[in-house]
Amino acid sequence: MTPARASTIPGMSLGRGLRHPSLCIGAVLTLALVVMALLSLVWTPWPPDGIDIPHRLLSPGAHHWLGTDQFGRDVLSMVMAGAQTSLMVGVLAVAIGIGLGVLLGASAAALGGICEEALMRLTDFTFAFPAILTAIMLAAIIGPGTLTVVFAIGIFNVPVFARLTRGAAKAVWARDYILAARAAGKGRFAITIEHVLPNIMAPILVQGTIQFATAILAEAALSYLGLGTMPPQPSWGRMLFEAQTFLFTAPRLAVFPGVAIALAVLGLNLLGDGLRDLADPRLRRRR
Amino acid sequence: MTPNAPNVLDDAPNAPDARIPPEPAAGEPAVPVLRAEGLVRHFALARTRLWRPAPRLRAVDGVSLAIAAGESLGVVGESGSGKSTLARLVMALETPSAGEVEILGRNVHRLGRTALRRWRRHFQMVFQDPYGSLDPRQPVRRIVAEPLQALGETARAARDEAVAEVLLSVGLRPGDMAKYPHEFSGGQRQRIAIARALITRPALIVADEPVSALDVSVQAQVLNLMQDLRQRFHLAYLFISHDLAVVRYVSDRVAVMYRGRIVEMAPTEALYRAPAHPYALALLRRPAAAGPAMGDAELSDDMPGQAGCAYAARCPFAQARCRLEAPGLRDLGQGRQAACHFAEQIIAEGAETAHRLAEKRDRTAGPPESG
Repeated sequence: MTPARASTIPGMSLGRGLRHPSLCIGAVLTLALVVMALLSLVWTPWPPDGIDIPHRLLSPGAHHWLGTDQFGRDVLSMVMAGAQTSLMVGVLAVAIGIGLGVLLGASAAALGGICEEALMRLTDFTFAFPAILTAIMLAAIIGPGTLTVVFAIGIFNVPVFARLTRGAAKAVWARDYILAARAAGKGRFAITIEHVLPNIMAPILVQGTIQFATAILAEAALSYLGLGTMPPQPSWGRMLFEAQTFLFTAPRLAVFPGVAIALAVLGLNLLGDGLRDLADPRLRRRR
Repeated sequence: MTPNAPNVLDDAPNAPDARIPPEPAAGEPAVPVLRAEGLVRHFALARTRLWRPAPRLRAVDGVSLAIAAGESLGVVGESGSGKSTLARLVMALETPSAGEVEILGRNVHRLGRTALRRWRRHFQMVFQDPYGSLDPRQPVRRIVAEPLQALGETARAARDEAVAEVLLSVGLRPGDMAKYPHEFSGGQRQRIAIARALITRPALIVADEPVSALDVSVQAQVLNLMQDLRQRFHLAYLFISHDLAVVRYVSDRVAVMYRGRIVEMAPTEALYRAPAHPYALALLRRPAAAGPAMGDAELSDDMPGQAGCAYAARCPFAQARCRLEAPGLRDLGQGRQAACHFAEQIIAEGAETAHRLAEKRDRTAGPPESG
């Protein structure tokens, strides 16, 4: 007797997902981002950090599909390799946010009372600092770099997930099946693991995709400001910054990473929206 | 610990006899399955004036009762009368402000955390809403096995076997184990909830409005099931409901609650034939008065320090004495108690009313005029 494994989020199935246009587009764009990043690990048309001064600022052509930059580096290779950075920052920042945020939020909801107040005020305090400010502070302390960006965005994500988790968890704690679990002798910790977390996975996953998009955007912004990824590691934000000088002579240098950022963020946001629609029981019937 | 209490705590978790509700050996006095003594539960309400102490809602205000093994005690009262709080106090889900609850001779509010968790084997609960009381993300197998799992009986094969067995005894198929709650109807869900309560072979099941969320046609099935199970497993019920017909069907004795107190306790048939408390009489005459729609007003007008009978303001029989002197629960013989100065007169009055009602029902075969 094997139970028919329920999908992670009730009501989510492949069939319904395919009929949801924004989910579809979002999934395709996100998949493209992931494939590009993975592919760049093993193959790029040219080495992304291969400086070739004689062939600098080439227009797109047969050899360099998207042309070259001021050092003669292949733009397509850099965009592909830049996806790695974006993806890594996104994954780590969201992981930090979910890890700490869900821990804080679920603990606050489980403990209640003064502990809950204290934990949530702590997250409010963190929330008061914009990611950029945190990044500047961190850059001043540990120096600029991809990790600085990861920590800054991760810390910024913690209160986002803490609040979401606490709110959703409190709603679950008020349900009768929690009372039933208590009457069966389950403690707060077991109830949180067995009942609360599975029932709040859907909103957390949805928020996760959206925060992922925010993280990619923030990484680009911070790298553009010179607080983030340092050369020679490729980064879309860094590419934008370097293209600035040639904005009038070679605008394509800014356009390609810009389009990459836009598509990645758009894809993740559409994916998040689609997942939210699927997870929303009110919309589930109609789809 | 009472010396007579069966020492089930120390049994190995998987020992088969640990499942059997402990029964006193011959010759020993019977330990009641449930004994509540002077139970009080106050809730602090929001402050209305800054310098006054916060008003307190006396949800349960001095309730004492006992249930013998295999006995079913019904609790009726309008919403806000403290029925559900009583259920939660008995289930040790809330801490009483005063008083004690003994289950099979053990004060559950004095037990340590682990001991209480183990002792919960003997008392389980069935909730009102079969849609809210089953975790939608868990298969029936896990829902039903949860009380066993909480006891530390983690061997999955043994648990599945126990689940299959209780599913059968509530009229479901063992194959339903793999399904999720949303695949069942309301009545089936309540069967799942009952199976879950049965799985530890408890001596007491506290049922808080177990059928009031169900269709009338399904109510009867579930009530019949509960009656069957009671006989088969020698269960005691604390059966809470606002529906007098339902309580009458399942209970040996009935306790009528009003504003956190028991105002009458009597064998079921005696109470329905002729109630001794005016409030019980009012409930019988106008069953809708006990319905969930009423009660908000009752909740808020709690007046501490009020002298006299709490029901006097609503009582058609109230005399000057009632407003001055609060009647205590007193024995009327034949196993009935009532908190009314004029209980004997009310019984006479009630007999007449019940008679009239029965006649009218026979004539019209329709619902009473006041809805």
